[in-house]
Amino acid sequence: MSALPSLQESSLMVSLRAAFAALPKPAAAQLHAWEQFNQIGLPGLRDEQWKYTQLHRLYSQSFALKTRTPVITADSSISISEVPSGITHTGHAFEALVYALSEKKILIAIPDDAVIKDPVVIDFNSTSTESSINATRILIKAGKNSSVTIIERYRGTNESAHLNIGVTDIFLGENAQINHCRLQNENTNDSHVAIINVNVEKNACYINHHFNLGGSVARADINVKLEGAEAYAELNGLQFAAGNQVHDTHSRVEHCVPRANSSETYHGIADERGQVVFNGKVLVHKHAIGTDAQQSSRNLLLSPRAEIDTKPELEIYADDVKCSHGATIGQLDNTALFYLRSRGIGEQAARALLTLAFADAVINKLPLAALREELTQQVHSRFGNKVEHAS
Amino acid sequence: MLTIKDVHVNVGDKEILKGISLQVNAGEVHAVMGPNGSGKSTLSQVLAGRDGYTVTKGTITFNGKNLLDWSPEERAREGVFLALQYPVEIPGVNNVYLLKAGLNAIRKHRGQPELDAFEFLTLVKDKMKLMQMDESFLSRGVNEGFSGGEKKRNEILQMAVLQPQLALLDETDSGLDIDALRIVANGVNSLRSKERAVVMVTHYQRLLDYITPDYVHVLAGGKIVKSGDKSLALELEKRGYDWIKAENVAA
Repeated sequence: MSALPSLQESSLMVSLRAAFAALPKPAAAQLHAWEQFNQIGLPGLRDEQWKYTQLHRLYSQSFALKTRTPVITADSSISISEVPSGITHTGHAFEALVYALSEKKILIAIPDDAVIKDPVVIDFNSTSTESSINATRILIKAGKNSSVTIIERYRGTNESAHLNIGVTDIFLGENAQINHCRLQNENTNDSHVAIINVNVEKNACYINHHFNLGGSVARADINVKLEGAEAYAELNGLQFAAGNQVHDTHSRVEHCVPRANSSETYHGIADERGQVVFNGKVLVHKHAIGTDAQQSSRNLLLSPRAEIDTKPELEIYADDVKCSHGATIGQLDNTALFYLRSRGIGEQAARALLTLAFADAVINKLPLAALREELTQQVHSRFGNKVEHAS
Repeated sequence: MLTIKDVHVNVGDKEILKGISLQVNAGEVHAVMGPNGSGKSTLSQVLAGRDGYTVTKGTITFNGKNLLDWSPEERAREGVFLALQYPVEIPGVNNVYLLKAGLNAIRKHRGQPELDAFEFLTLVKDKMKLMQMDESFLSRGVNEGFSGGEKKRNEILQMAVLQPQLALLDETDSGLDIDALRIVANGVNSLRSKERAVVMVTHYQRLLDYITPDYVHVLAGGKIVKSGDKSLALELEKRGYDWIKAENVAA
């Protein structure tokens, strides 16, 4: 019986060690994080949190370290700066790796009471022709009573394989509002591992729109802590895996205080040999009475070789709470398909139309018409020219 | 136009149609009546190409070509239209998109240029007036949240836009109040012409007061047991179906 090559000796690990060793002058925080990363180790196939993610695809590749600097467009009242990373503790291997590899983090600070009309756009584009690993840390602080829309866009415009890993920390002060749109459309050789940590204070409202469309293996961990009464978090997501893509979202919503609410809507589409994974954890702490948490995971399986793994996980320690969850996996409605075809629409186009309708339920939640248009186009383009664009 | 010869149809292992023959020529309107479970709806579904119905024997030709060779969309493009008994709600696909995509696919098949947005909207709005439908219907999801009557009107609107050669109406009158029935009938009548044919499947004589058929057929036990002109429908209304069944058994 031949064992898998040890993770320690995998190509990825070897190239990471080389990359870290080549850092000219790692800060103390980076050294600390590197140690932590080595202690945690890369997740193995038996690791419950990673068992569907197909990380072995990454482990057989090697990457050189590059910095992918995002282009940020923002209103002039928002301060953008680079600050030292600082020491942070984590139990998450890739989070530790991001900390180890990034000397600085980008701080985006929205002043108190600022209501920002134009969205902050953070644009990542992998243009490097080398197989490279990019690590990015972003910290967003929304002052009290502020309101802003943030668009993180990830694209890859060449065919080289990149491993893009990033941590985004978000703090919402009292009564702040953030509409956070995360559009992952990397090239299909790229891999993407993202960790988003959000703290929501009293009366604040955090809305996340997560579109997992591109990449080969694309994983996102979205961790939200509701830390003030009447705080609200809404997580919406669309994952669409075709070819041999793997799209994996793990959400974790923690209700730490009484009377905070959360709502999650995740749609997954798996076509060809694609795989969509959703794991949604809701944790209601002992004192969080009056919590209202809803979660829905709906999935469309379009091909016999595609795979969908969805798992709601509720952990409730408080009485007097309202928590609901639902997970479905289905196929396109045959009656609807026949109906469209009986009106002259070809089978492929009819399938595409119904799939788009399923995706639209999430796209339509986006806050800006231009974004809705952009995402509709992107999902359309997945079907080639089978559907003309709806006017 | 449509020639059905000795057609037998199974749903699963059960034989529903047991040898149907019917000739429909351009310009004619046929009504197919019959008791529940006689196979009326099966006939229209088979003609439109619905999955799950197996033709075990017999032939169906449309303009001399084998209809059964075609997929549902090919049938639609060749000019067959089925107005469903239970139109499907499709949230997220809007009415105007369905109409435009369908119409342009059919026009393309006929070698006609696609309509541009302006020509298309002019056509649709004109037909909506005919069906007395509000323009807000266009931007809504296909049949989404429509009442029973609105769904049936929407079927006839689609038919009026797509201009089929052969219109099949599957119990289009069921669930309609008298005003809606008049509107629907008016829509169908506006389509009557020398080049077109209509086959309507119905339970009741009522629809035939508004759309006068040239022929009436009675379907019972998977067979056409009696054919006649519109007076047959009146007789059925008066006497029910039992006398035909009795007559059929006796014969």
